[in-house]
Amino acid sequence: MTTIHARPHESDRKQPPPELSGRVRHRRRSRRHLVPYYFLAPSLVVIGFFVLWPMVRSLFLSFTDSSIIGDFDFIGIENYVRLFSDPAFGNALVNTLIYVAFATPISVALALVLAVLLNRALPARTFFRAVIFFPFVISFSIIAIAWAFMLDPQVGIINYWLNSIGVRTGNGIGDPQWAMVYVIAVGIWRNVGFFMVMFLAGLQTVPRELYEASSIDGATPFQQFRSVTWPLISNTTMFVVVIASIFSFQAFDHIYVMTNGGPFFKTETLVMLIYRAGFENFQMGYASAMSWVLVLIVLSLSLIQTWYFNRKAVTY
Amino acid sequence: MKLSSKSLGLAAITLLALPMALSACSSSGSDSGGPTTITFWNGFTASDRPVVEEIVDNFNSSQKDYTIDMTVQPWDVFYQKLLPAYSAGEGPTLAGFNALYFPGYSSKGVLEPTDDFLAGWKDSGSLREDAVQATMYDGKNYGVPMSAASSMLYYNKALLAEAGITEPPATLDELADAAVKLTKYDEGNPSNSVYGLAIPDHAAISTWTAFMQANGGGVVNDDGTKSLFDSPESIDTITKWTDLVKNDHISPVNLGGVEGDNLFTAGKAAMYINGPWASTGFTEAGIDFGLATVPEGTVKQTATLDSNNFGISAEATDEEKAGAEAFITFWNSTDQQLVWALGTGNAPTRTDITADQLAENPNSVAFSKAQSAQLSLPALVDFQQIDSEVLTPTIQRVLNGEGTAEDLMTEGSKQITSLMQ
Repeated sequence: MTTIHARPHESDRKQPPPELSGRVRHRRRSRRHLVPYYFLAPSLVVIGFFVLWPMVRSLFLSFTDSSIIGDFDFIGIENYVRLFSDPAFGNALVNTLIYVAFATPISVALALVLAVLLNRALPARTFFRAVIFFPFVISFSIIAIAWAFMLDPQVGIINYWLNSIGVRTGNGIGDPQWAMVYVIAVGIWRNVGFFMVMFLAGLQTVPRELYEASSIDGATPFQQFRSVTWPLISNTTMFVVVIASIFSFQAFDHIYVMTNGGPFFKTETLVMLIYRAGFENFQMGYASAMSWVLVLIVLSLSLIQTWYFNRKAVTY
Repeated sequence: MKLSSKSLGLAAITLLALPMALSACSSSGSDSGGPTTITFWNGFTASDRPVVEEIVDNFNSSQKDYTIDMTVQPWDVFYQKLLPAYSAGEGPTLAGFNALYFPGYSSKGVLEPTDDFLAGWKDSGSLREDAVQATMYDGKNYGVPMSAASSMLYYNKALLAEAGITEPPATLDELADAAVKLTKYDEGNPSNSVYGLAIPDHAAISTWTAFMQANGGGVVNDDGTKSLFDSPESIDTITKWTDLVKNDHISPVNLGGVEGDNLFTAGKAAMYINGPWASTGFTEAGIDFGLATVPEGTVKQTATLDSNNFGISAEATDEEKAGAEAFITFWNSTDQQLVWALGTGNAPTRTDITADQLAENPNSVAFSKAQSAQLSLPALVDFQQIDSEVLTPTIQRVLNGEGTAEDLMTEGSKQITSLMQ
């Protein structure tokens, strides 16, 4: 098979007038080059003010004993040393890890199942997709308040119905054993729609011919999923897993509203503790140190996940 | 340079970036000439809000020197923003908030002492003494009463009559017996239960503390210097009452303030100890309730004092301070206190208003009669930490069977002592 390479002809390029050749060509190219940056400038300025600057400032504060108001002293790594022996930090870390360990895999798996199901041509497919995605769009605090009422052991309808059919629900979100379960359930319910939409986008990129070819070869739907779908959506899967983990590590809104970290700190996650230490106990320096430790934990986990998925990446 | 459309476009885009960046910075406007604006923050968002707004409007229209610019936000948002606002120099000239927070804020130097103002104001002697004293810190007073009330015992008249109880209990022992008698607990479906006495353990005024104080104990002593949490009186009180909740189910466990209100509103709690702010909601829900003073303990009769006080910013100019004081004086005048009490069911801050003047609102008559009350966590700079890290979790742990009251409260007392330093 012969391949024909076409080389761009010198005469194809527009020749600038000889007297302006060097300068004009350089200016035209650099101006074109810089236009994207002008478009990025507003966003970069906003991100710089509202994301980068606070990050730098909080890193600085983490080495001080700042308490929002008044003078503060530079205390070196004392905050970091303190958090390693602080039982509240240990408790929050364990709670966060439990939350992540359950919320992430369940929400990702559920989202994938829903995406695969809703990828076929079902009658009310658009309706179901919208309904499942909807929780992600509403303010999380408000729906968490609604959930708190529904799960209230005395006046909540969910507890009432479940108890009427004999299912024990403990003391609702006030039960030390059950509080974390309810909080995880609400967290999953909130995010599953978002991950499902991402998976749907990934599933659209799988060429239909591969499914047809595999069914000609006699593959069952499960084998099709395992050999065709799963490898080809690996990029999407990696992205969703990383995002799901980050969301789980940052669990705060619904916990603050539903249980406020209670009962007696059973559902206090790292972000809850950071909030409490910083804004209720006015220990901004300590809270900043904890938040940077959280950044490092999430960053390491994301790097590990990205490395793992890149190893298993499949390209055709 | 040739003005091409491209360079115009680039200039436009760069100019667009500037307002976005500058919008992050705020500029506080001050009007010279005309009335001085007094910024006023508070957290009265519920049924009390229209009455607060009415009094502010009355003040603004009654004189031309000052205008109150009021911002109302939910309490949790309010407390999140207040200290950062003071720290950034953007704090309100006047803030109305709970007296329990005053020691903490005073210690940070953001509030102006009010001793001179109180000394120079002829009506200050007519104000409720415990509310005036509630904002003392380190020998100086930093607040002036805004709304002060004792908690009282709400009781559902129908449920009490049904159980054959003719009069509300007068002592804590009688209260315990009545609560047991009034409880109808459904083990299989707790939602069907009726509880004798709903006792919240978080996000509410602390009934547990009031009981301890009535029996001679408490969380800390009156000047916030010593922990009373491990005293035998405190431990016995908590042991007795947590046993009643755990074994006789007189109250659900892990009740928050809002859930407690809901329970009483739904007719599922026969008795409930709360402040005047709940009375409007209960009336609107159609509950036929009575109000009694909180039953007396072995040592004294006491209730929880919930006092919201005015605080003036230490950064206020003399002009603003004068305006704030003018509003405080106006708020606490007889006329406006009648508006306040009759509109909200609250007791007036003034003790020289008679029951006849309040006859229109029987709730405010009742609340104005309940005069013996005390702060649950007085004079504590770190009251929030003591409440969220010791008091609330300890009571919750005992209620959930995670240890005996004696062990947990002794442990808690050590934590309180270390936090007080």
